[in-house]
This record gives sequence, C-alpha cells and structure tokens, in this order.
Amino acid sequence: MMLLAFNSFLVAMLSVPIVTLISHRWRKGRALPAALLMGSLVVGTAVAAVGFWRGQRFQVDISQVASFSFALSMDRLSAFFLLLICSVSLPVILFSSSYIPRHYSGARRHWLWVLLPLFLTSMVLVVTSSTPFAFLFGWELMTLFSAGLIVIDGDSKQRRHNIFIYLVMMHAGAAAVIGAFLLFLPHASNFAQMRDSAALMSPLLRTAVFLLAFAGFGTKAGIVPLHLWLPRAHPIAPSPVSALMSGVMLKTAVYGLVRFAFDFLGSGPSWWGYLVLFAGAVSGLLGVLYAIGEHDLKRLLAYHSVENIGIIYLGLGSALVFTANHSSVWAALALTAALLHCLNHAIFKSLLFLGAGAISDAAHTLDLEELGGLQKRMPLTGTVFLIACCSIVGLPLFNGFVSEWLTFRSFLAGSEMTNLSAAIVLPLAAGVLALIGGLAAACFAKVYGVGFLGRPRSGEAGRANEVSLPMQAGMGALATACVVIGIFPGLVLRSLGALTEELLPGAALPPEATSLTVVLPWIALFVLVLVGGFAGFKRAKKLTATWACGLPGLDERMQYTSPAFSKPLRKVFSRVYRAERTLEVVPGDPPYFPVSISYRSVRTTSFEKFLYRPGVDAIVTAALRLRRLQTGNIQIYLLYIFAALIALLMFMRWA
Amino acid sequence: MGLFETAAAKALASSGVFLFMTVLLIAAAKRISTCIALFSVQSLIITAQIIAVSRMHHSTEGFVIAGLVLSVKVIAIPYVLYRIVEELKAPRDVSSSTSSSQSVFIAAGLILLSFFAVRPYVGVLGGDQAMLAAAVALVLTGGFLMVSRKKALMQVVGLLVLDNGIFLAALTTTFGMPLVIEIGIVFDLLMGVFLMGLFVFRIRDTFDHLDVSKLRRLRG
Repeated sequence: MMLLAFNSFLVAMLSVPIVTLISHRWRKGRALPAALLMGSLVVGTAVAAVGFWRGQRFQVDISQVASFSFALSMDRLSAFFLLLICSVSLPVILFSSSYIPRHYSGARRHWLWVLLPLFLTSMVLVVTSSTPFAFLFGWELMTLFSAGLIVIDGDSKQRRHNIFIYLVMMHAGAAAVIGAFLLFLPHASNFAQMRDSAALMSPLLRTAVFLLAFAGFGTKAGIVPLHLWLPRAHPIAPSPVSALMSGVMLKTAVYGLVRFAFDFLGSGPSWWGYLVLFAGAVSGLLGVLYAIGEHDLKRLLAYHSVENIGIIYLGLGSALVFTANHSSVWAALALTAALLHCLNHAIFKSLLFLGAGAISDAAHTLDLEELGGLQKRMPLTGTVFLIACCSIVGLPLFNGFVSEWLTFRSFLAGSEMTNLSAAIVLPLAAGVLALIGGLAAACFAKVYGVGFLGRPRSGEAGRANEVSLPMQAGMGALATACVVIGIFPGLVLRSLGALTEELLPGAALPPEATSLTVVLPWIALFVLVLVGGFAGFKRAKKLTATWACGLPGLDERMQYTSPAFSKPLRKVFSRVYRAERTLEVVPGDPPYFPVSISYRSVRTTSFEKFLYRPGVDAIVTAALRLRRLQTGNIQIYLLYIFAALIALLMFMRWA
Repeated sequence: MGLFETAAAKALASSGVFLFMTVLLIAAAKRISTCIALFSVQSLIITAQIIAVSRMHHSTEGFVIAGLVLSVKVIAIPYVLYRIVEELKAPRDVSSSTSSSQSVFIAAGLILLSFFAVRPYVGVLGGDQAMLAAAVALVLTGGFLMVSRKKALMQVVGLLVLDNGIFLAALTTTFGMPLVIEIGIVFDLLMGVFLMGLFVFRIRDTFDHLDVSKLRRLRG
C-alpha cells in the first residue's frame, strides 16, 4: 500500500512537466500543472506522515532492471525529511499557482512548471535513496534544477556571475560528498553495507569520511565560511523558489550530515562534535550580524538561513559531543532539537520568503527603505509575516521557541558532564545561542517595524493591496503550522523521539522534552484568556494627532529607517562589518554650505578577500599556464593521447 | 588433423610476423597510395586469421565476419580512399614530420614496447604472444601515424590501422566479439571513412591544402 502510494507519487510528480508541455496551448489547462503537482504532494505528504508516525519501512529497488545499484527506501529519518519536503512545498505550490501566472508568461511560465516538479523530485530522491548512486544522482540534479529555476528570472551579467559562483561551490561540495562515499569502497553498493563496513574502518579513515561529509554537506547547508553562494543565489530566484531553496533544499544537507555522522559512522571522537559546534556558532553569529546590515528583504532572509543552519549545527554538534561522552539521553535531546529546528525553519523561512513574494507582488520592491505601512494595506500578509517573525526569533507559543529551547536545555545539561571540556564548552554555546536569538529579535523588529508599520515610504508601497486568495491561503497554512507546532509540539516530538532512538541506540527522550508538550497548551490557554479578557474590557478611546515636536505635521521621511534602527548594533559589532566609508564633500563658497556631499559605505566581506581571493587567483594563474597545452594543432592533441597510452602501457608493465 | 587445419595453424603462427612487416612498411612509406595498399594487405592478413580461427573453432559466424572484413576493409575502404586520392589532385606524399628511416626505427621501438607490454597478460588472456603483441603494435602504430603525418588522409589511414589492432586484440583474446557487434563496428568504420573523405574535400576546398598542422585557429 505504502509502496504503491509512493510509486504513484513519484510518477505523478514526473508527469507534471509532460502535462505542462501538453496543456499549455489549451486555455483551460493552465491550472492543470499546479493542481496535479499539489495532488501528488498530498499523496507524498500522506506517505511520509505514515512512515514518520508509524515507522513503516519499504524499499523500491530497480538495481536488477537498471544494471546499476539504484534503490529508494524509507526509514524514519527519510520519512521525516520527506514529510518536511512535501508538507512545506504544498503551501508554497499553492502560493505559486497564483504568483507564477501573475508574474511570468509564455515560455518562462512553462519552464517554471517544468522545473519546479523536477526540482522537488530530485530532493525527494536525495532523502529517500538507499544507494550512493541514487543519492548522488538526486544531489547533482537538485543543484542543476535549482540553478535552472534561478535563470528563469533573467540572465544579466551580474546574475550569471552569481549563478556561476553557486554552481562552482555546489560542484566543489559535491566532489567532497562523492569522496566521502568513495572512501567506503568496496563496500559501497548500498547504505546497509556502508553502515556495516563503517564499524570496521580504521579511525583515520572514519575521520576522513566525517571531514569530507562535513565539508561537502556544509557547502550545501551554507555554513560560514562556505556560505558565500547562499546570499547571492537565494535572493535572485523567483520568490516561491527562494522559499523552497532556503526552506527545504538546505535541509537535504542536514539530512546528509545526520545520515553520515549518526547513521553510518555512529559515533566518533568528541572533537567532531566541537568542530560542528564551532561551525554552528560562527555561522549563527555571522549570519545574523550580516542580516542586520542588509536592507534588501530577500538578501536579509538569505543571511538568516545561514543563521538558522548555524542553530541546527549547534544542536547536531552538541549531540555529537554527548554521544562521544556516552550520554545518549542528552544526545537524543540535542538531536531531536536539531531535527525539529529543521522542520520549524523550513516552515517559517518558506513563510517569510512567500511574504517577501507577496510584498514584491503588491509593492513592486523589496527594498526596506521604500516599504512601510503595509500592515494596514495587507492585513493578512502582515499578520502571517508577524507570526513568521515571532517564530524565527523563538518567541514562546511559536514553533521556533520549542526547538531553540530544547537546544538550550541540552547545552545547559552539558554543565553536569564529568568531562571537563564538555562541561565548559557546552554552557558557553548556550550563551552564543542566546546572543544569536537576541540579535535575530532585533533584526526582525527592524524588518517588521520598517516594512509593515509606520507610513509608506514610497508611492508604490502606499498603493499596495492585499494579494490574491491562493497566495493568502498558502501563507495562512504555513502560519497555522507555526502556531500549531508552537503550542502542541508533542505532535512531532514523540515521533522524533522514536527517530532519535533508532539513530542513537539506548537513548530515550528526557522528561524535559515531554514536560514542554504538557505545559505549552496550558500557557496558550492562559494567554488566550488574558487577551480575550483585555479585548472584552472596554476602555475610553480618544484619537489625537501624534506629537510632531512642534513641527506642522509628520511625514514619512521622519520615520526611523532601516540603517538607523540597526546602527547601534552595527556600531557595537563594527569589527565584524569592517565598513569602508568614503565621504566626499565639495566645499561651497562660504565653507559652511557645501555644494554636494556624497557618502558611500561598503561592507567588505572579509571571507571573499582573505579566504577565497588567493585560491581563485592561484587557479586562474595555473589555468593560464596550462593554456599553453592548447596549441590548437590536432596532431599535438593526438600526441597527448598517444603519449598517455604509451605511459599507461609502461606503467602496467613495470608497476 | 587434416591438411586444412595444419595450414590454418601455420597461417596463424606466421601471420604475426607478416603484420609486423606491414607495420614497418607503412612507417617507411612515402606516398599515401602505398599506405592504403599496405592497409589493404594488412586487412587481408587479418581476414586470413579470422578464417583460420573460425575453422579451428568450427564456427560459421566467423566466416560471415571474414566476408564482411574482406569486402569492407580489404576492398571497399581502400577503393574509396584511392578514389579520394585520385580526385583530390593534391600532392600525394604523406608529408611526415619524421623522416622515413626515423619512422621505421620508431615503429620498431613500438613493436618492442608492445612485446614488453603484453608479456604479463599472455598467460591470463590466452592466445599467442606474437599475435597479442601485433595487436598492441597496430594500435600504437596507428596512433603514431595519426600524430606524425600531416595530411588529413593519413589520419584516416592511421585510424584504420588502429582499428585493425583493436579488432585483432579481440580476435586473439576472446576469438572475436559477437557477430552483431562486429557488423556494427565494420559499418561504423565504413561510414567514418566516407565522412572523413567528405571532410578532406571540404578542407581542401576551404583552405587549398590538406595539411592539418596548419589548422590551428580554433583554440581557447
């Protein structure tokens, strides 16, 4: 039954592109691809939900037919990530069903409907594969299809440059992932074999596997300093695609790391954990700090993806540290927190990107300096955006709180460890997480305050209207999920507990996790009663104009701007930004009245300057030298082949 | 053992030597038409080997392949190449970058190298050492011809010699490939020669010469 449903899900997904190409001439068939895609995602969600909650397993093996080892299978871990992919992309596609026809026409629209299902299918392939070949097949396609989706929005020189960086870094990451799989040779025909052979590997080889997987999946996840592509590639995609890339695609990298670190390798020395913990702390801090400095909404959100991946890595790292110290109960808590944060981030980050799409749909800009006052003009979008903001900064009763609180709890438990380094490092990480949370709160206060409150800063923002119904429905569904998980985390936590018990033998969720599921609904009820009471209590209202410091009236230029709001924080962390400021003053005749003043502040990305530039320069120099090999003479090329042939013969004879 | 079987065994034993002679002669040849003739002779020797092998193994398939090779490699391709040489009305020397005597020495060196290279595999793969060495030598000489001769037609001849070598290797180690594959390869080769013939004419018409060493504008 499950198998049949899963197969029909895959077939339905793959049929969407064909249906798109057939139906596009037929006027009534315009809605068909979206409907079919949503239908198949519903089936996929159902399969994943049954697999996740009941723990059912099944396998699709076509190795016999295909003559290479290609098999898909589902265990609880796969089911969880499949659930994440399908259930989050369902509202995103609902949103797109109205967003895409409004913004794209002709060939570009067809391409979107062709590539979207293929992109989703490639992610499904990644999380359900049970052979390295199937995994890498899906992994590569995922990169290519997402790059294709970015190209749909145009291919100006700047965009091409960004896509190029995206592809180069993804291929470098994929090379590391392939390397990690190759180290399992000759026992690498499927995941079960790899699991068994990992136990027999030498410690050095295990470390090599772990480091390759860490680097490879880290590139895809966008941990600092491998995050360079993320703020370039995500903002330039169509908004629903950004939602899928940031919300869903990044999680496949987390899946890969969990698969390698917990499923294949089991446990390792505790420095693996410290490495992941450090990467998470750096990514989280720098991600949120860079986000504060951004004024383009989608770039800002992309940097927040770096931050949230950092939080997930903090959880994974502490789980690894606990496992290395044989404290599997706390390891289970940390791992559960990390996985739950994957789901939560997928939900609220997709919602935020869809909100950005709705804003650009209504106000035709994503520059915070030109927005403002949108809450009154787009009440539903504003409300769901506020819910997403509350979730991402981890306020209680929203889903981000649950996972971040569990992560905190696992860090604080670290102080009870007998191992001294763990007892020192883990509570320190709690401090880092708290700082990240506070900075994120500041950042989203800025986003919501500047974007949705106050007065519109441009005519476009003033003329904004609420978006269409399917778009509202898509965002509403995600916002509901934020609140439901925030109040009833037990829905997911119990099955996640079962999942971590499968990954970490001998573990069980500590009572801290279950107590949360009991307390939160009561708190919600209390808050509801309190709010209801206040709303019922009628107060005398008196409307007056806002005091304008004695000026005749207020105008929108008097409002707090986004840079002004973030200035104090940027001042405190000025060492991180290293802004290059240039101030040019052309003095006038009386020096007190200059003719013009121009001010320019460029934030240098020190990673680009100090980490990537030397490497790139070395490669370009080497390529220019190697270019001499390319004489253009056909006989020289033949000579190369001939020489290689003779060298190989010699080698085989005397080696 | 009948007379025919004895003859077949003798032919097989001595054919390696004949092949080495064709290799050295092709290396020494100065005119394109001589090379084509030598290629034809070489293919004829291989045809004889196919007949001998299939006679020894009592396979009828082998005779079909022999017929194919005879008609295509011994007759059709050399004929087509001759026609091209006739109709091109271009200088007919091979314009080698190594002198005739140097080429012979290099070819001899390649033969020696192939003997060294195949020695460890004779026991594993079975088959006669001389034959296996001849196969590798044909591949290497084909490559050498393609590298050192400047005329576009000689690249075709080099490729054909190289293909003879691959064919011979398959014949000596596994007694040939399945019939379908052989037919495919032979027709592939035929089409290849036609196409390259067309290209040779295009090159001549466009650039007024056939010297591939002067075609070097396409580079990064």
